Amino acid sequence: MSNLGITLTQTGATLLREGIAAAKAGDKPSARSLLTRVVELDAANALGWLWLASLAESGEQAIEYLRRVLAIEPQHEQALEFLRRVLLTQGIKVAKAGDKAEAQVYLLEASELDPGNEAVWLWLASTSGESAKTEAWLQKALAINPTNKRTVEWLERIRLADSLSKSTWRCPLCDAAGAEKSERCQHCRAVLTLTDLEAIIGNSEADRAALHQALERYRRQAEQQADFNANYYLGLAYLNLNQVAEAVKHLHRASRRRPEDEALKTQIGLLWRRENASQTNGVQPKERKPLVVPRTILIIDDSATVRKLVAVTLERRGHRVIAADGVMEALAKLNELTPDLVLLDITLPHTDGYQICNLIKSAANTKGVPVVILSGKDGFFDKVRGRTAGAVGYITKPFEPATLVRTVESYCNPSHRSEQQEER
Amino acid sequence: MGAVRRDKETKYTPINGVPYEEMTEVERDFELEDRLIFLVAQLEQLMIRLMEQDPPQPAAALELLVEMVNRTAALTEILPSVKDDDVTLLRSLEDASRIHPLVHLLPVENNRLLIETIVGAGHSRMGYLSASPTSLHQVCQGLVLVLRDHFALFETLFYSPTMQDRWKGLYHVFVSDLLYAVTDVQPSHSVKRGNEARG
Repeated sequence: MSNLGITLTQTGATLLREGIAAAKAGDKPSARSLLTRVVELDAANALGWLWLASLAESGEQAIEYLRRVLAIEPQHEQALEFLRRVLLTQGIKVAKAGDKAEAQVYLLEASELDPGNEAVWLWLASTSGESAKTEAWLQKALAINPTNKRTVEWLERIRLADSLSKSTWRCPLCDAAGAEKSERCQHCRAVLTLTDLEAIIGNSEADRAALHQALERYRRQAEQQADFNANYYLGLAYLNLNQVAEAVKHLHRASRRRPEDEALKTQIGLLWRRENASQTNGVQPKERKPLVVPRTILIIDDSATVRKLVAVTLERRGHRVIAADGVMEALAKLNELTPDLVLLDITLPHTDGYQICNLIKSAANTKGVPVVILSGKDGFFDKVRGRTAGAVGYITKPFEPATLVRTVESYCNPSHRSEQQEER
Repeated sequence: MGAVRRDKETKYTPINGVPYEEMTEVERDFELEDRLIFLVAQLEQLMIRLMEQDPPQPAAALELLVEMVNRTAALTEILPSVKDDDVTLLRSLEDASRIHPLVHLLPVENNRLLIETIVGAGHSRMGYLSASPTSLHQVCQGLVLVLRDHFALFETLFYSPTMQDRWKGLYHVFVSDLLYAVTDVQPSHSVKRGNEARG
């Protein structure tokens, strides 16, 4: 055993010598191969790991090898110095590649090893998304080098932006200052969000003169540069003045400049539908029907096209549509949630819709859910059979979108539902 | 074609009663979407009739597909946003015939496929379709392409990219259902789809 140990040590020393020589001669592949064998024979060979680190093909690899060295000799000066440099280089490289979070990891470790390095703190500041951290790291850099003008300017910019964000909020319509951003301006009483459309359209408290001034201002702005803000605030002002059609026009223009804003699109859709309904019904603005309450509708149909048709029609009204292509999926969905209404196809594979209707009506958690039959069959007896099974309504395919919406919203109305239940 | 389109404005009755010229872009989009939803709902019912045939009858299947194409072509004639030279049935058929050459033989008159001529067994050009599974299949696939061509035109009529995407999503589902349905329309097809009559 001892002979073998001596042989191994001798072999290791020879390999190390040869590896270092190859490295010095610039033959990196041979050096790496020889030094790898060295650390394989003796994992505690700090010199072997250090030389391997100097030959590493990537920053991560060098860091790993250097950690090996420091695990063996924690105060190894060369390794510490080398690691400080590699961590900074790697942090900068990753930061430049755009991965600020990973860059921060390297740079924070570099800052622990080398707290007096100005570059480490500056790069750390550049990776931060929080103004407080950026400011703290810039302060560290400035403490090391108080004469760095760029750091001073950077710090000033951060402080200015911070103070601006905390400064007084102004109403976008009347421009009055407020303590904080609010859904209703305390000064002109205009509603400033589209969250509650009833509140904004039915707003009788708003200062009309202030709103007309806002219209003038934003109209001019929109003429000069058709940006999102001008059209959005024109829309808000018109809504507060109960001029829905004009509001929709401008909100739609705003939406086209910010197509990713799905919430805005939904609200515009609701507004337009509401306006449209009031025009066709000849209802005066003050007597308009309330906006629809979003409902959850379960559609059970084995036709993917019909499921999609129903989803498109109802989702643009703000409803949520859950789809099932047969009895098993329908029962699974009904176990997960209780919809506000079920749209049910009659002709399904393996069973018929009447049986599913019976199941829905006999289960405790779903017996109150209105079921509307959706069928290509228009026969009198089909409709009677549907009623007998517990369905409240019957829509014949092909259906017009307005018919589907009217039926669904009418049966989802709680007052209608309770009337139905009383009748039964 | 021009003659068919000339009275487009007189044929067009807005769903919501507002004249087309007075509608905002949003209103026009919603109205177009309503019409397209109803069109697909109608086409879906024709497709169900096609799927209910067990085994599929070539003549009836062709008749249903032709009916689908004609209904879709009819819609292009009344939509004010479709320009006369945007799409014609003839051009769509020409495009489809590059992939399915037999489609070129389908008789067209006044922007409509002539159902009687196509499914009439006595017609010199088309009568052989019922006897040739490959030819029949090619024509069916070609007609689906013609439908797709029209659907793609409708897609360009929306102002809103969201509604454009929604329409695309809807017609892709329908076309994929329809392609599945026409797969069975071959006299030689021996595998039946099972009794999945839908309604």
